[in-house]
Amino acid sequence: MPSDQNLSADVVIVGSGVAGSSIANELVRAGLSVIVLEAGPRVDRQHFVENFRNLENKPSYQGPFPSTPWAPHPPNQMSPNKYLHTTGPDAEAYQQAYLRLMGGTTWHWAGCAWRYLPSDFELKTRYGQGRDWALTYDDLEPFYYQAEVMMGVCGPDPSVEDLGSPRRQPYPMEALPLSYAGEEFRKLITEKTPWRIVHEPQARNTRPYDGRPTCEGHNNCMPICPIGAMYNGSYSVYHAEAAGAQFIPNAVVYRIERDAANKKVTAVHYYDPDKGSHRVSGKYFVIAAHCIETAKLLLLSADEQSPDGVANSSGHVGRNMMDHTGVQVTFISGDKALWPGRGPLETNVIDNFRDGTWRNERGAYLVHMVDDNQVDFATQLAISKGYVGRELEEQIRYLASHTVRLFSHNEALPDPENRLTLSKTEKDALGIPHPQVYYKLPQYTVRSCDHTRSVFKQLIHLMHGTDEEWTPGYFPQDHPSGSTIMGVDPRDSVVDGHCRTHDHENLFIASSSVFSTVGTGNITLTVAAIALRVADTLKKELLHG
Amino acid sequence: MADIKHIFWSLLLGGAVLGGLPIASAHAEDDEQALMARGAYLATAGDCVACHTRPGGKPFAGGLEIATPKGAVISTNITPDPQNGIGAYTLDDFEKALRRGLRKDGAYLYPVMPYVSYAGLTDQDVRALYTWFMHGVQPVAEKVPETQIGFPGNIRMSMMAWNMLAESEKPETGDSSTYDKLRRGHYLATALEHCGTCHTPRNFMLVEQQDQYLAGSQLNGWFAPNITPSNTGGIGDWSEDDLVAYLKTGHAKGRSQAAGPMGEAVEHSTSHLSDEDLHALAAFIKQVPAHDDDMEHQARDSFGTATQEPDLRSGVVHRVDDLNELDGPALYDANCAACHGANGAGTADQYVPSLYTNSVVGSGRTDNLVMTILEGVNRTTPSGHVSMPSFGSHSDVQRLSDEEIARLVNYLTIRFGSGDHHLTAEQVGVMRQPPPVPAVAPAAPQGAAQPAPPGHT
Repeated sequence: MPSDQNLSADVVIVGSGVAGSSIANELVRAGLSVIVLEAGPRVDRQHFVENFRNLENKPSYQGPFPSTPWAPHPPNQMSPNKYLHTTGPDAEAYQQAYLRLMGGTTWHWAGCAWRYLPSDFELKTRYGQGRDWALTYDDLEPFYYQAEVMMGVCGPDPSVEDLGSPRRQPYPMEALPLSYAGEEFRKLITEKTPWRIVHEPQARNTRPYDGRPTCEGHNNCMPICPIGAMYNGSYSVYHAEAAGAQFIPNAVVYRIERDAANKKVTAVHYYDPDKGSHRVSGKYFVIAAHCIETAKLLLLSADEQSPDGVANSSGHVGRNMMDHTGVQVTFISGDKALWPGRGPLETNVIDNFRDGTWRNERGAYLVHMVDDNQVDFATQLAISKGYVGRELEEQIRYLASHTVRLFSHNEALPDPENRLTLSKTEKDALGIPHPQVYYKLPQYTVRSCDHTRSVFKQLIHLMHGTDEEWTPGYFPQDHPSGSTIMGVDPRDSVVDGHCRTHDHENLFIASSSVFSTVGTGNITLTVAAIALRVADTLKKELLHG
Repeated sequence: MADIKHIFWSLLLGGAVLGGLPIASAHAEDDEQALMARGAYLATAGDCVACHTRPGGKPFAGGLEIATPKGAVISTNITPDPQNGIGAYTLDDFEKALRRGLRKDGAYLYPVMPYVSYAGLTDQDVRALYTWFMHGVQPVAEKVPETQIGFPGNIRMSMMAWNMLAESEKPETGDSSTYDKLRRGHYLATALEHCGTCHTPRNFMLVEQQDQYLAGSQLNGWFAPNITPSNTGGIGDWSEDDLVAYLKTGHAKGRSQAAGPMGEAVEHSTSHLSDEDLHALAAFIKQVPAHDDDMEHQARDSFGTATQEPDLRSGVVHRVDDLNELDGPALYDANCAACHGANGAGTADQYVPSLYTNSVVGSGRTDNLVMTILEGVNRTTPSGHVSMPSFGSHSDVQRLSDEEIARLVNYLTIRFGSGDHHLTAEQVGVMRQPPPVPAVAPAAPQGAAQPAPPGHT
């Protein structure tokens, strides 16, 4: 723990996940000094692997990462939790999970590395819905590629399988080979439906890459890749550190200090675990602390100068909360065994519903066939059917090999009423209020989910499925976004097209919180691309005035 | 690095030249093409590129720092560039350097250059090598720094005395492609592959002890093991086919696999030899005098079997700020078992090898096991790319401490090898390499044709 009170750097970054660490890496290699403040501790892979193996509830992907009192994160994702409090008609649909740890939430993710479609950035112009971003696909394209190289993304040959996001270069690695279940599902969709199935781009090695091994299909990408074949933010932390960036763990930023004119940020203040306070000054500041924590910090920094919170003259900080709230069903195929669970978790996607003229009335979505091990589900089902003894074993075997799980990412819209605020009653060990979110699923998304259900029902029918188990209501996808929304007008947005806050000229935000709309692909690659673009902007300003 | 070298090989030599090298056509001595092909093959068999190319550098442009007990020797530029390389060398100059260790300006070469081995080359093969280096290698106008070390005595002139102590191979005669199997094997092992340079122990003057030929020697943290046919100290239990498989792919199942310097030798040299030559080399090695070993009393690959640990599962999940220290079984479980299996059996196809019946784990010396954990495996041959991540100071996968590596290695050798070798953290610390200079940032994406991983080593 640094003891001095004179910490200072050219750029101070809050958050060490994929966004913060990759910005740090870019800047420090350009010769700038960088300090990164991470609320959570630093832990290495082997301890997470052992925690996972000792965990009784294997599907709990937050389980191996029990958080600290000073940097709590949600303990699990599928039930009301004691940290991220949700209210409103669709409270259950916004129970997001994330990690506060060195390296960030990509310690557990499925590695899905989608680029957004060009239309995702122009929803208002093209379909009269939501908002336009203050940047275009073309602005982001070079940074998408830089992010793909940084993370090591594999994907299909665009001349064979065009995913709808124009590319100037091929994917850094060849697409993943499909598992047996993946192949069989692909055949079914191709031969018996009007839909199209594509290889999911993945931040996962299909050959040795960057000193890390090829994916072996352990099937527990979530909660932890045991061999490092999948990207996570800790690699960017290592790379940035090797080049001289300073990372401080257990540094919980609680206040953003500004100058007398309230135009420039002068420092951030953090608590160590014993609530000792430290001040870190700098020329530029980047908040890259995940959608939830970023908005929380801005609101927490409210003072006389900014009574509604920092960067919040628009009143939009904490509003417009979005996700890929979707639909999930698990059923038993009446056709031949698929034996899911023998490869990475997500490799196959039906992508017909990512874009279309119907987006003027209902949201887009994509469908994942989830290739995860189903022994847990099969066992519960077999027991619930009353099997015992040898028959129970046979049934588990049968059901586990015939289980199909589908879920969708459905597009939300930015609605200012869907809002993150600070809890007035719940506080963490440092006395910092917990975040709470009011959530009501937009009708646009409800109609999208209805459409998804009809598609899932057709698939179940096609596979002679039985024992359907629909996740009640809607399924949170842990892709929170929108809480510091991007726009050209400072009156109704928090950051501009370069992720600079409208209110403070040296304060940037690199997070899914800047998304103006949320599209359908998993958000991480877009977060990384936006972060690398922020790094590019900062390099230009700091090095070339 | 391996990827770059792999591309380099395919560009430089091309499958056609190497894969289908017709020995018969090498007979046509006046055929320039045949001489070139022969020279290229010989340069591969001599593994010149291993030392004369720095990581990321142009082929044969030198600049690699080679650690010796006396200090670092920097390899020279041997491309045909007239100022910086050997472009001004005549055949006679080339022959003197190659077989006698004499530079064109009269200075003596350091014996890191295995001229005592290359001394065994035939005149015809020296000419083939010369022709290929002059016409088949791209000149590179890059100057490499001079080596600054005090070899026994501190001037290169003292090398004259050293050369009198060191026993050089006698030049072979005639057409080396017509030799019978054992003579060809001897020629390959001594005059080209220079196996003894690493595998033969040296005396205090760094002269190879020929009465201990291939009996094993230290090599920058690694140990080039005893590969004589001793049944206890060497590889007497290996068949000729085992040796051929090892040299061709870097892996002989149930015996051993190549990493570190031997991984490079396989990658750059032996995996590109013809099957006939590999059999000749193997046959020769199998009949050199056997030497027993002070520290190996049973064949290194004869230990252990698949074993299951009793259930390690505690059900206890540790808070991320309250981490327990992992003991040997837990270190194995968290870092090794995902690939090598809970029972140590590796994968069915042995892409990931078993840890039992494995020379590296069974050896009485833990050097190569420690080095493999520290540096990983990264070996590309025509049969594929084999990779194990490093667990050393620059790993992105997992950085193990000296204490953890010592604990893990002792656990591995007890469970799968020849017992507890009581390795200490201090010993591991000595073997850990100093951190390399941070690499430059990965190329900006704009216009980058070939995606390079953001390397940092």
